[in-house]
Amino acid sequence: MDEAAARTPGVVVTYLASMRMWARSAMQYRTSLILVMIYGTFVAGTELAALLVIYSNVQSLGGFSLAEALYIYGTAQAAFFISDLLFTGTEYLGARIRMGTFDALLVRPVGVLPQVFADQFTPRRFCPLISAFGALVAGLVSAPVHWTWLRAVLVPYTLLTGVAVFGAIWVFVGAFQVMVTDASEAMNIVTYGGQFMTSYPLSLYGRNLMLFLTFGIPLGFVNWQPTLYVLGHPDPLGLPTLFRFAGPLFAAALWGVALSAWRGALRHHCSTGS
Amino acid sequence: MIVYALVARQTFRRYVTYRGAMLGGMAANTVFGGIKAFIVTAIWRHKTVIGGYDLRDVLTYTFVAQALIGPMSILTNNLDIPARIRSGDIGTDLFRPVDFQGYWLAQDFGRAGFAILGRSLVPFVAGALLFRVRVPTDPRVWAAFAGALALGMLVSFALRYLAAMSAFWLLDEKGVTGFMNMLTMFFGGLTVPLVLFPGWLGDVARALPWASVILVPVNVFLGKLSGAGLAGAYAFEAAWAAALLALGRLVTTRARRRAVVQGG
Repeated sequence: MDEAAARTPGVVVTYLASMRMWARSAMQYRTSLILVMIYGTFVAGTELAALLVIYSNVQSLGGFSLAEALYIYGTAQAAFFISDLLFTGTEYLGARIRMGTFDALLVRPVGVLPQVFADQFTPRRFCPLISAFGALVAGLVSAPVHWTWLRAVLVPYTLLTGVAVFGAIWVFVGAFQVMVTDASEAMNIVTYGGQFMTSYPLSLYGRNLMLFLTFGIPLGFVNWQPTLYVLGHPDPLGLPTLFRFAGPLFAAALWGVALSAWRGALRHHCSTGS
Repeated sequence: MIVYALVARQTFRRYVTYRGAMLGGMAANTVFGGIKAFIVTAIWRHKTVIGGYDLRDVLTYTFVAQALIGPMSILTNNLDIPARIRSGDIGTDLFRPVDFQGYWLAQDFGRAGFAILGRSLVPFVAGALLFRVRVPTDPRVWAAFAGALALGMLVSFALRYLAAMSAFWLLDEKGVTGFMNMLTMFFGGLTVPLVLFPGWLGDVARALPWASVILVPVNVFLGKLSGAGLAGAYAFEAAWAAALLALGRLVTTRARRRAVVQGG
C-alpha cells in the first residue's frame, strides 16, 4: 500500500466520523431533539393514517387490497427513509454554498461526498422508520402471498434496490445544488415526490407516466417491479419478467450518471473564497 | 389602520425578492397536485359520490388545496417571531407603537398576498388544464370565495401565531410549530381530502378550526354554499378566528411580562 493512501482516511471512515460528529451535536439540545423526534414520528404516522382513511372508503385501489397497499407503502417509505438516513445531507448543500461554509468541507484532506452525505445528520431521521416498518410488517402478515424462497429473498432485496435508487437521486440533488444554489425546493419534486409516488401502486398513474417512471426516472425499481412479483400481480405495462429483477442494473446506471454529474458540478464550483 | 396596510405592503415587497424559492415551491405544489389527482381519480372510480363530492368536485378540491399551501402557509410556520426572540430583535418589535399581534398579522397578510399571486395561480391553472375541475363562472361565487379565504387566513394566522409564541417559553419552537403544521396538514385536509374521513373522525374534523383553511373555502368555490349556508360557514370561520385570536392576545400579554430584553 502506498503511503498517501495509508494516510488518507477511507470513504467509510470519513462518513462514519462525520455522522458521529453531527449526531453528538444534535444531542446537545436534548429537549428540542426529543420534541422534534416525537413530532417526526407523528408526521410519518399521519401519512400512514391517510392510506387507511382512503381504504375506509374503498376495497381496492388500482387493483390492490389494503394489505397489499400496506406492503407497497411500507417498502417505499422504508427505502426512502433509509436513504434519507444515509444520504440526505446533499439537501443542505445549497445553504452551505450560500453561507460559504462548503469550503470547510472542500479543504479537509478527506473525500467531499461522504462528508456531504453525513451533513447535519440527526437521530431524528430514525423516527419515520417506525411507521414505515409498521406498514411493511402489517402488509407482509396480512397480504395473501404465496411464499416461496425467491419471494422471501425479494423483500430485503426490494429495500436494498429502493435505497440505491433513492441514494442516486440524493447525489443528483447534491450536484444540482452546486450548479443552482437555491434549488432545494425544486428538487423536492424528485425526492419527496418520488417517495409519495412510489408509496402508492404505480398503476394509478396511467400508462405514459408508468413508462416514464420505468425508463425516464427509474422510480419503478424502488419497489414496484419486485413487488409485482412478490404479490403475484401481472405488470400492467406487460414488461418481461426479467424486469422484476432488473432493479440493481438500473440503480447502478443511475449511480454512474449521478456520480459523473457530481464530479462535473464540483469542477464547475467556484468558491467565493470567503 | 394605515400603518398595518403599509406593513403588509412592505412584507409583500420583501417576498417579491425571493423569487427562486417561490418558483421551486410553485413547481412542487403543482407536481404533488398531479399525483394526488391520480390517486383521487382511482378512489372515485369505485363510487360516484363520496361525502357529497363527485370526481370533479374532489379534483377541484385537490388543486385548490395545493394552491392554498402558500397563502395559508400549511407546511411551514412562516412567522419570524422565534428567530427574533433568539436574536433579541423581538425587543424592537415589542417597543413598536403598534399592536404586536396586529403587526404580525399585517406581515402575514402581506406574505399571503404575494403567495396568492406567486404560488397559487400556476398549480390551479395547471390542474385545470390537465384534469376536469370546476371553475366558477358566477362573479358572486368568486366574491364569496374571497371572503372565505380571508377568514381562513385569519384562522391560519391565529393558529401559527400561537405555535410561534411558544418560543417565548421554549426558545426552540421547532417541536411545537412542527406539531401545529402536522395538525394543519391532516385536519386541514391536505394529506387526504376531508370528505374521505370516515364517520366520527369526519364529524370531528369538520368542527375543528382547520376546516376553515381548505374545506370551507373549497365548498364556497364549488358553489355548494350560498345564502344561509354561506352565512353559517362565514360564522364558523369567524368564530374560530375570534376565539383563537383572543387566545393569542392572552398569550401575548403573558409573553410581554415574561420577556427580559437586555439593553446594549
